[in-house]
Amino acid sequence: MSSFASKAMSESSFLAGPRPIVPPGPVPIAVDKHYDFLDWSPDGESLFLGTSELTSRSWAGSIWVFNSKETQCANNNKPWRPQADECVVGASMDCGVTVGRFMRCPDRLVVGCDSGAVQVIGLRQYGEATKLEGEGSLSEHNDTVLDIDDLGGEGVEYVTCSQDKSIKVWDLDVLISTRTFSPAHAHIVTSVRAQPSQSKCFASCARDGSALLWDIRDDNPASKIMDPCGVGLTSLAWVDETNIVVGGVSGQLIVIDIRNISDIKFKLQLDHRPVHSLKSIPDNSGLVGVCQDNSKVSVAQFEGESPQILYSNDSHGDFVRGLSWHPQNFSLWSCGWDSYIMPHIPRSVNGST
Amino acid sequence: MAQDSVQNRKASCGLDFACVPDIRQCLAYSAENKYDFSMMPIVHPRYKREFLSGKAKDRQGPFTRSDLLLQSSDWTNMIVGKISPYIDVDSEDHVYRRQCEEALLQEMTFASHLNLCAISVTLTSFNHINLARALFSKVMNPYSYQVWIRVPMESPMVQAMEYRKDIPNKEDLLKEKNNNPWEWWNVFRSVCNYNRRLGVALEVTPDIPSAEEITRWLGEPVRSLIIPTSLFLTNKKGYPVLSRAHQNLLRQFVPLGVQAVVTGSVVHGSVQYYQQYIEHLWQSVKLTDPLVGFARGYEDFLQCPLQPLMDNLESHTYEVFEKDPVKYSEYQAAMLKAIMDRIPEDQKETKSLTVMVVGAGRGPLVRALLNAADKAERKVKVYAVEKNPNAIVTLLSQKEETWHDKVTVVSCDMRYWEAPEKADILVSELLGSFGDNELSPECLDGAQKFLRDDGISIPSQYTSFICPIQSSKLYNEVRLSKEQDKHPLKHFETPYVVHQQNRLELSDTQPLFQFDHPNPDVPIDNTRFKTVQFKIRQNGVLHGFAGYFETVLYKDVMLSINPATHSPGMFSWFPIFFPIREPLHVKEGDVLEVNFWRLNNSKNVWYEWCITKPVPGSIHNPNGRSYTIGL
Repeated sequence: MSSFASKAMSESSFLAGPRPIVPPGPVPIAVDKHYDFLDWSPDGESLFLGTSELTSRSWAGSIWVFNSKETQCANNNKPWRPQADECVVGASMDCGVTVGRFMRCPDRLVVGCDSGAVQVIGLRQYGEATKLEGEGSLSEHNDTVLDIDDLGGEGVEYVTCSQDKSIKVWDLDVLISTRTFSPAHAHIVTSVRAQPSQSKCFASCARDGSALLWDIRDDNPASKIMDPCGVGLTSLAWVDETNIVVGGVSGQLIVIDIRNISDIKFKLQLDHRPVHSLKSIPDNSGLVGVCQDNSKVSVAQFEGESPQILYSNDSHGDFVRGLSWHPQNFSLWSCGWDSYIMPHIPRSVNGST
Repeated sequence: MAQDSVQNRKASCGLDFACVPDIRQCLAYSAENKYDFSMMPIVHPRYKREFLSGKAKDRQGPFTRSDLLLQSSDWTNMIVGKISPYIDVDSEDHVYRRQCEEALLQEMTFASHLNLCAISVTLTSFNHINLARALFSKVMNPYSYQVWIRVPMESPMVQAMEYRKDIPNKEDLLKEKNNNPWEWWNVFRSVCNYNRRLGVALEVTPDIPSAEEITRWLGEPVRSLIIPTSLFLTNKKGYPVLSRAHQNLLRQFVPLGVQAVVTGSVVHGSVQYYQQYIEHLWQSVKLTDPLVGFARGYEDFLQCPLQPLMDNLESHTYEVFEKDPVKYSEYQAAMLKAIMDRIPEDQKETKSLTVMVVGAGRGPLVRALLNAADKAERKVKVYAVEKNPNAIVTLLSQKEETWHDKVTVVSCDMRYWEAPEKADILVSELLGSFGDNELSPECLDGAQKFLRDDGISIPSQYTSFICPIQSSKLYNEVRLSKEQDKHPLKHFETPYVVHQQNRLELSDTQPLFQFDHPNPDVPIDNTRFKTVQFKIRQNGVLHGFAGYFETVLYKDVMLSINPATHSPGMFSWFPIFFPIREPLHVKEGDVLEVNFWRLNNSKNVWYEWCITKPVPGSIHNPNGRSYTIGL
C-alpha cells in the first residue's frame, strides 16, 4: 500500500495544465498493488515498472527502476514480487500511471498518466545515489494517456494516444507537441504504434472498431486500415514492416497487410476476453506477445501459412497488464494486478533454455 | 402570476475531473476555485472487473473507494458520477456485452448507494439501445438520480474526417443521419419513453452547428453545457475568453437555466478563470424584454385556462391583468378612432355616443374609454356591465368618487341584460390565449342585440393560430398532471396555458378559427372545423400544438400573441398548448395534417383535435369528455 501522505500532490495531479516540471516524489515505502506496465532498457540491464492504486483511498501511482541483479531471481521462470527496498530508484507520482518506457537509453524515461500528462523523467547519478528528476510534464491531453510509442527517427519523436480521442506527436528533445489530431477517431484511441523503419508513420486503433494509418508528412495524414464496426479495438502491434495485428474486445487477433487492406490475412481467436496489449518481439521473427483482460500471457506466431499460439501461460493471479521483451535474450516479461512480475521463455534462443 | 423580475442569473458551474487521486482534495480544489459541483468517475476508469469466469472473478478487495471518504451530503450535492468510458453494453460481442452490462449495473447501483444526484454516460453513435434499456430500468424508480446523456454538438466522426486522405466527399458524410448527434439522442430518449430524469449534457464543439440545429437543441431538456478548455482563446491580458460565435451560442442556452461544466486541461493559468468567465457571460445575458422578466418562474409551467364565464375572477387576477402596459393603451387607441369616426368634428357639440363596456371587471376599459373621449373631445354615455358582484363593488365606488353621471354600472350577465337603449359601440375584453376559448363569441352574440345595426364592436375580429411544437419538457409536465379518479387520458386532452420556453417550432404558425363581430348571420353558428397542413422544417418529435391569437380591435389597431406579430411588451396572455397522447416522430419535408373542431351544446363549448398525416391518429377529447368550457 502506498501511503497517501507521501504522494507529491499538487494542483496538477488531477487537472492537466502548464506545469513545467512536477518533481517525482520520494521513494514510496511500498510498491502499489496494481502493476500497469513494465519495460526493459535497451541494454537489458534495467527494468522499468509502473504501478497504480486503483481501488483504495488514493488513486495515485509510482514508478520504479530495478537492475538485472534484482531480476535474476525471477530469471528461472518464477514469479517475482519486487520490494520497494530492492529498487535502484523509485518515485511516487501525482496520479496513476498507465504506460511508460525507456527513451532509447537507460537514463531517460517517458510516462503516460491518468491525468493526461506525459512526463519525461531523467535518472541522475549523484555518487552512490541514483535519483529521478522531472525534465518536463506535458499536460496537453484532456484525459488518460493510453499508449506511447517511439517513432524511431533521428529526432526524439514520440506519439501518444488518449481516452480524449486524440493523438499527439511530440518532440521530446525540446518537450513540445508538434502535431495534434483531435479527435483522431470517433471514440477512445486505445493504441498507437510506430511503423518499423518508417519514422513518420504509425497506426492507431479505437473503441469504435476503426484502425487508421498515419503519415505525418501529409496534410491529410490518415487513411483507413479498418472501418468502424460493432466490436471495439483495444490494441495493435506491427508484425513486420507491412503487416499489422489488431486485437479487440472479442479476443480475436486480425492480421492485415497495409498494402492490401481489403483482405484480412489471418484471424486467430484467443480467449474470449478483450486484448489488452500486444508487443512484437524486437528480433523481427514475427512473434507477438499478448495479454488480455484475464490472467493469461500468450505468444502468437504469424509466420508462414497459418498463425498459431506458440506459448500460453496462466500463472498470474489477476489481469495481466504489461508486457516487455528482453532485448538480449528475447524472454517475455509480464506484470499484472496480482502484484507479480513474471518472465516467459516462449522458445529457445541462442541455445539457452 | 407576476413575479419580481430578476435581472441576471447566477451561473451554476461544474468541473469535470479526468482523474481523482484524492477525492477530498479534488472537492476542495473545485470549491476553492468557485465551482459548484464536480464530475468524477464512480469507479477508477481503468479498473475493469471480471464478472463471468476465471481467476479475476474471485478478486479480493473493494472495487472502488469507500463512501466514508465524504459526508453523504457531499456525495449527493457535489458530485455527478461518470460511468466508466470503456463500458459498451451495445457491443456486438456477446461476452463483452455481458461483462459490460454487469459493470454498468455495479456502477449504477453504487451511484444509488452513494445517493448521487446524477450520473453521466456518453453517446458515441445511434446504437445505444441496450444502454437505454439499462438506464431506463434504473430511472423508472421514482427515487432515482438524474442521468446526463453526454452528446457532442458535432459528431467526432465528422471532425475526425478532417484528417482523412482516403475520403473524397466529406460533405456527404455530414448529411448522414448516423452522424447527427441529435438523432442519437432522439432514438435514446424515445426508447426511454421521454423519461424526465434523462437530460442532455451537450458538449460544445469547435464547429457550431446550423442555427436550425441549435434551435432544435433549445427545445430539448438540456441540463448542462460541457465546455472544453480547448475552446477558449487567450485575450490580451492572458485570460481565457470564448469566440463571439461561442458566446452567442452559450447565451441562447442561459434562459433555459442550464449548468456549465468545464472539462479538459488547464491551459490558461488557473482553472478559476474559466469559472469567472462563465459567470461573467451568464451575467451578461440581460433580460431586456419585460415579458421575460414578468414571466420568470412561469417557464413551461402548466396552468389551466381561466373560465371567467363560469367562475368569478379574483381581485389578484384582475390586478395582474390591469398592469399590462400595452393592452389598455391599444384599446384606448381603438376607442379613440371609433369615437372620432362616429362623431364628425362639426357634430361634436351636438351628438353624444352610447358606449357599453361588457365585462367591465374593475373598470380598466371604462377608464380607457373616458380617456379616449376626453382626448377626442366627444361626449359619451357609458354603461359598464359586469356579472361578477365582487367587481361591481369596485365599479360602484369609482362611480361615486370619480365617474359620477358619466357611467351607469349594471350588475348583470351581458347575455341576459335588457338594455334601456341601443349602443353605438360595444367594448369587451373576453379573449383567451386561443382567442375564442373564453367564449367571447357566445357572450358577444348575446350582447349584440343591444348594439345598433350599424354599431361597432371592439374587438371586431379575432383569429386563433396553431403551430406544431417539439417539447419533451411540456410533454412530461402534461404526463405528470394525471389526476386520479379522472378519465385516464384527461391530462392529454386538456389544453394548458403555459409560457413555453424549452421548445421548438417544427413548422410555420398557421391561422385556424376566425370570428367577426357584430355577427349578422341567422342563426349564428359558432362551431368550427378546419384542417391545417404543416410542412416540417427538420427532423423532430411532435409533442403538441401551441395556440395563439391575433385580434383586430378596430380598423388597424391590433393585439397579438402570435410570435410573428406579437404586440411588443404585452404580457396579459401566455400561449395555449394542446398536447397529443403519443409523441410523433416527424421528418424534414413531412406534411403534418391536423384537424381542429370547435363544438358546442346547450351547456358547454369544447375543442377536439386529431392528426391525420403523416400517420392517422385518434380524436382527442371526443364529446368534450376531458375538457369543456362552461356556458
